[in-house]
Amino acid sequence: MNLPIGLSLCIVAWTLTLVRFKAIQWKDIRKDNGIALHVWLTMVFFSTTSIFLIKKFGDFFDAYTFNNLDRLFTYCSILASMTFGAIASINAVSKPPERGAARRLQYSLTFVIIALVAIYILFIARIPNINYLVPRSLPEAGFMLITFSFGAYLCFTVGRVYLAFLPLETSPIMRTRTRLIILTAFIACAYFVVKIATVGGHYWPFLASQALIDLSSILLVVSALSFFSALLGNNMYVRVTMISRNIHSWGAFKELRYLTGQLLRLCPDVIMPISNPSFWRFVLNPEYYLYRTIISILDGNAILDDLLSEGALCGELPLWEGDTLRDVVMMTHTLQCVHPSEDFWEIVSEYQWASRQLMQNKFPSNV
Amino acid sequence: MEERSLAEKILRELQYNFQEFTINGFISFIGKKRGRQIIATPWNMPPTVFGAWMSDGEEPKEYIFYRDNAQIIHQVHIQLHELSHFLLGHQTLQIDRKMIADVLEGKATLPFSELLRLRSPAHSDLETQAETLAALIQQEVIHRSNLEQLTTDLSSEEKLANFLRTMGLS
Repeated sequence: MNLPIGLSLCIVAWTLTLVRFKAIQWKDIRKDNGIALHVWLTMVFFSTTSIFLIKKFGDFFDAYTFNNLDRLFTYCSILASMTFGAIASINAVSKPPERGAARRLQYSLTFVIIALVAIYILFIARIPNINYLVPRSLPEAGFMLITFSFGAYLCFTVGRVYLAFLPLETSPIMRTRTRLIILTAFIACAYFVVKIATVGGHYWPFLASQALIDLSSILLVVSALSFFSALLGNNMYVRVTMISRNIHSWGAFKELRYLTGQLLRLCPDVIMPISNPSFWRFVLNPEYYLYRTIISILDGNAILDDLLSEGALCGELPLWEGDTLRDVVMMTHTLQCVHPSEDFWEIVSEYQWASRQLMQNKFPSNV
Repeated sequence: MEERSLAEKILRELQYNFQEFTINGFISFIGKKRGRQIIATPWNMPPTVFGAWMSDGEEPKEYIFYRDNAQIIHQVHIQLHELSHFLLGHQTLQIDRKMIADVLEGKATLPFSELLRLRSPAHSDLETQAETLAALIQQEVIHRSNLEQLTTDLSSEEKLANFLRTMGLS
């Protein structure tokens, strides 16, 4: 990895690790079944890896120790980091608790490290420094393949555990954080898969292409940034969640405006005109504008049902004729298909559907 | 703008903590504040009438009737709208003990026909005032609950919540 990117990643990694070290409430460390400790160890080993990812440091380190020792440290530390992360994930969110799975990961890590150290002592320490990404000998290929395969498996495990957990999480901010963890896990998994492909470049040269090597570097940086983003404090998440929710709500509001506009046209005496906020005004209080829109729709829906019910207008002049009457019937029919719910967001979503239906049916008919 | 200033003034004077809002709690709070017992009842309302507010001419009681077949979100809104009429000091129909007894025994029906239809043009100013106050109340409730929801963000999974606390991420 080139110096500016490697150094930046290293600084970010160590800063966050030390910040979290200070923030951890060590006296409560046992309360969470060691999850916080495992996550912090994940950060420590990841930060250690980030040092060895700086090529100049790696060369310097090897010059004063043994050939390729930086590579052994990099592989062992990244795998230790990911194993602790996977164990923390399993302990934190898996249902039912998979204690056996966490223990199996620990044993697997021990086995993998022993295998890597053995290959290193027997072969890798005896060859000149590896300054290339595609292996040139069978021991190098084995050394890399073991690391990348186990890495891919660990990432997949974390992604799978959090994917199963996501539907159970009700906190909006934790859902955002969980999505980011899933994204990180699968990007990292993709990184290892690409690395496995480049190992195959030893036998099939087309897999040793520069494009794949560049892709692996990009995936590594993105997954590292995404990993540390998942460990940021809540204030940042509150902002991100609010922004994403507000943008989503704006889309819903615009869709619902079509429905309210048509209801206003059909029942002008009943529906209170709804204010037409700008995007910036809307995002200051999106739920309020959506709520008022829904109330107007419910008013209009109820009044249409009443007026169309048998005997409601007995002896009075008809309110609608011709095309307008057809619109009223179509509107009522569409609104009757809306499923009642007590959940506000489900109500919004149902009326969005109704609004879309009316738009698709080229409503109103006289236009 | 006039309606909004009036609504804001009334809301300021109430000094209600909207973080604790529930419709029943709010109705009870208003009742105590104004020295009247407010009774909100779901009712089989006639067509095109969503809700009605009537005052007891003999006892310090106010009656709010709202559609029994409306969705809860709509029922809450109707109650707030009728409550706003009361808060704004609008005129309404007076009923007495005898009428209530007759209604309960099925001998009479509530005089909804004497009330002007909701948001009828003749009373549009009063309706706009009530709707503005109801909207302002809703704005306050939504503003507070939204903030609360976003600041109490610990995971619904207990182990994960403990972890977030321990990590100092909450």
